[in-house]
Amino acid sequence: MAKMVNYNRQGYKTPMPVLDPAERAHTFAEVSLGYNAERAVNEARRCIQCNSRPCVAGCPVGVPVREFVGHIARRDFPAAYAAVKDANALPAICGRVCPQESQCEGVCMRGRKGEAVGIGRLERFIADWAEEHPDEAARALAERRAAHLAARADAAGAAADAEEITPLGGKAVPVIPPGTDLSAFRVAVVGSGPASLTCAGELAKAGASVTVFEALHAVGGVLTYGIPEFRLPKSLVAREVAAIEELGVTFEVNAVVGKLFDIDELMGERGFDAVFVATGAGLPSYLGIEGEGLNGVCVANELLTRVNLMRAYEYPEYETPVFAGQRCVVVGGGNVAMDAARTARRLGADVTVVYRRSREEMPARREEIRHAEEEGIRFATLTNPVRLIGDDAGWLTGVEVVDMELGEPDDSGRRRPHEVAGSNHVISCDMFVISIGNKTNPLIAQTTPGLDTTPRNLIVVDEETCATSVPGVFAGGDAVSGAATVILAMGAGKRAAAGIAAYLNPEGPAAGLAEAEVAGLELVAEEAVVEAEAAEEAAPSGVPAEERAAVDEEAALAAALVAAGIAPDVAARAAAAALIEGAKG
Amino acid sequence: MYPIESVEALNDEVTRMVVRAPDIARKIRPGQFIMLRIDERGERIPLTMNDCDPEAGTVTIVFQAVGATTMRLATLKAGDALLDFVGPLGNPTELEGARRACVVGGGLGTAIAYPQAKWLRDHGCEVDVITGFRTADLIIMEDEIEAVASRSIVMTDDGSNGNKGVVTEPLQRWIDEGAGYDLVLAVGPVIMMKFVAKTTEPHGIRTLVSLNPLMIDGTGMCGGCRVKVGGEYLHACVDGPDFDGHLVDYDDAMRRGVMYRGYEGSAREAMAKRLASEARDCDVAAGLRAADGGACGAAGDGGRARRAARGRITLDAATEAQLAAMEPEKAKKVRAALEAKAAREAAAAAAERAERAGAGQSAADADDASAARAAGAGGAAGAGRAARLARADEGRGE
Repeated sequence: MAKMVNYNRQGYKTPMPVLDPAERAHTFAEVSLGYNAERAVNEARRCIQCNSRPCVAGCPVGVPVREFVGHIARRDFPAAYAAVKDANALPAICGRVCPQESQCEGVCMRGRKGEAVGIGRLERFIADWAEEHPDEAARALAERRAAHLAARADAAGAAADAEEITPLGGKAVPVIPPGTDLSAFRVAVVGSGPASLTCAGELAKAGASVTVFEALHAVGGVLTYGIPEFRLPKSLVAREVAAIEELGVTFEVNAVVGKLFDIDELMGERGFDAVFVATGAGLPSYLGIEGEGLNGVCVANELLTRVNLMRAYEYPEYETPVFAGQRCVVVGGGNVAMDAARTARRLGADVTVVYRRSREEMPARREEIRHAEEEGIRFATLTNPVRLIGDDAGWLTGVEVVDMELGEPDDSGRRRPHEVAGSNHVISCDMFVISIGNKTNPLIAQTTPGLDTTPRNLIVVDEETCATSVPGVFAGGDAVSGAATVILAMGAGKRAAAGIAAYLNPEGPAAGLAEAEVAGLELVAEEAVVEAEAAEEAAPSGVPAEERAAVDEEAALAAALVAAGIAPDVAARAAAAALIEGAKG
Repeated sequence: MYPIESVEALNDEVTRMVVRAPDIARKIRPGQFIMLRIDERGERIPLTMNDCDPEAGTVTIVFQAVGATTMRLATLKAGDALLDFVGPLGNPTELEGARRACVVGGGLGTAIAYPQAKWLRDHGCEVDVITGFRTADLIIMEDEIEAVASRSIVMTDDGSNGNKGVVTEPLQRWIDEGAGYDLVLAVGPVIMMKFVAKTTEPHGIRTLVSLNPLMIDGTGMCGGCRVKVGGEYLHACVDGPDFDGHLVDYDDAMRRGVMYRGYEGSAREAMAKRLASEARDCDVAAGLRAADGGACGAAGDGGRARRAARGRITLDAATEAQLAAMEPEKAKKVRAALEAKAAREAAAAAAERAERAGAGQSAADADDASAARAAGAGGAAGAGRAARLARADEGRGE
């Protein structure tokens, strides 16, 4: 990879145009408008093409970030698209909804001083570019895949081929080895969210006959019923799904596995050789406070399902209505809470988000919090609801809240909030949305004998292969991890696809992969030494020596952690965090 | 798509529909429900199974046209199809082990209580059945129930069938007479189930009630169907729909039931107008179709318009004779003009009636949509019925 010597020293992300906040409070049109080619190239040139490429380790599906950003910087958009799409089945979606700040961008070297490279924005740009240039994009992808196959013919080629997706000192996200032929096998995928779509796409590329079973009438899982139109247009989800259909994947909607047929029947009379279960985390949690049954109170899932899946915002054109209050209080601090708040705002409510910790601890993406604020949504942090108040007819009139203060860190590392005695007060509202997380649906666990689950109904799997305790049954996504992110689910889908391929076809090119992987790691290790020396001479002119030293130190630390048995992505983050802490201290 | 095999009006408000869904027919058990969506713009609505035939691959549903969706559903015919039909959802009713049971159905609830009574009878349980309706005209499934029940009684609010009173009266009487029930199952309006449970509670009889709250996805996700049972919120879709009748907080259920009532009212009115208007469009289109041999609604909104105009306009014999005497080209034009005129007139008449009915005029007016029927505009007749139904009371029972 050519070094980016004359890189763009702009310290901040190239701004991405957004819809005017005043306008967007009343429309479900997409908020962020995306980069044009000039802005994209400008942003891509901010990447210094560093050796350590922590961004790759920061990506759960192993997108070769450094490579694709480099291609954009050189205006080679087809190559950039091929690089992204080869690793990530849903780039247009990930570019919009991934929590980049805690993944690729969170570990970006440019982020040490100033802002990280806008990797998410670039991913979105290149996916949208491909939509406008389908032929060029398809050709580039085909060429890349052919090149992969050719390179894999010998160990050295395979190692070189794997370099960009292999984090320094780490290990690539497992993929189905190129050349694997699964055309003799049928795989059932339960659920059609991001984990399933990824897994189905990967398996279909290797020739497997894949059927996806979806309980609802629309495919996409949380992408369809959960994430609102203004953040992720449904036409875009339909487009990505269509691309997976083109690979030969069949979708069966209105099929509730566990009710219509269970896993045994899928593997038995319906003749599937393996099953991937990714049923998500769909059961809402409640606060358990007085008044949750009042009219005007709902969980975020209900609001979002009505609006997104059933398109209630187009009522009465679409026949599902949605209750919209004048004054709405949303409790929670995650992305779902932001989605609910911004949805209620668009339905005409005056919205306040109530969160029991401080703003810094909100798990939502920074961009969503900022967008919510711009749209006029108020935040009452360090505030916790204790009781919902209603009138005689059972309609909500207000919520009693109490102020909180932060104490010692808890298990999650966040400071545990405590109530401030005597600080109770009432916020008047006629709509209250509970958005404090989701649990997993126990249906599959209950109807599949021998399937090991945790006390919280999470399916227990082998971390590497996603295999469950039942032979031939694999699982991933929120059903395994508990409510998490789209991209982590996709990472699991990808690992599961590799696991399923190895299970179905143990004699296949999988055997060769181990060697290639070892060779790749050795090469990376040697290269690290060589490149560290070379870097001294050809140092990118704008990066101060201490920063380069920090990068190398971090890589060494990450490698040590990996050697000690820590997962590569965790290690990379931990190493980065340690150094940032060190710099601060 | 899920084809509709047959449609039968059980009375002015209640329709029985047989839908082809072989996978569901093999699995569904009494007490379980399905969710359906008529078309892309429709709502998802839950309906409890009334009957199923695994061999024929069909599931029977019974519904009362009380809301916009059920009104529209009532206008569909055999040969039409539903876009979505998903199930079986919820848990089967726990009927095993009962030796002596009483099944209580209120209004439409009777249709859901029937398969339970039948199942119990088929599994060696002696079953009494009590049903209740607003008035004698609304009584449904009387024969089917008599066939499975050891004894049965039908109560009406107005006494129009000779049995004035509420369902708890015979229930109390039979319990007092020593029927020795080990299970009472109640399906109907929440208020009815509340009083059935109150009646059985002092006797410690296991009592199951079937709750039918607001529901959106039906798979446990949205929390819309939460019901307070034994002090905690459970989801009717995955934990129910049957619950221990002595633990259900009925007042909470009734309160939550009104959450969307305002929307339901306006949606009903809008649907009555829409169906009337579609019928009008279709009548005009039927005339045009007759003129050029094309299909009505080809450029319009999907199948409803086509269905509504399936019939043809017929001209009287004298006119036909005159047409036969004309040159073929001229006859064709004249016929088209005549048919279009007849269609317009019929449509206008039907629409007027539908609107009058929608505005709360007498049901008899709307019922007499004969002009529309003469014009073959099934949609207009459907609209008349729909508009009439728009006035029907809410709730799935009386």
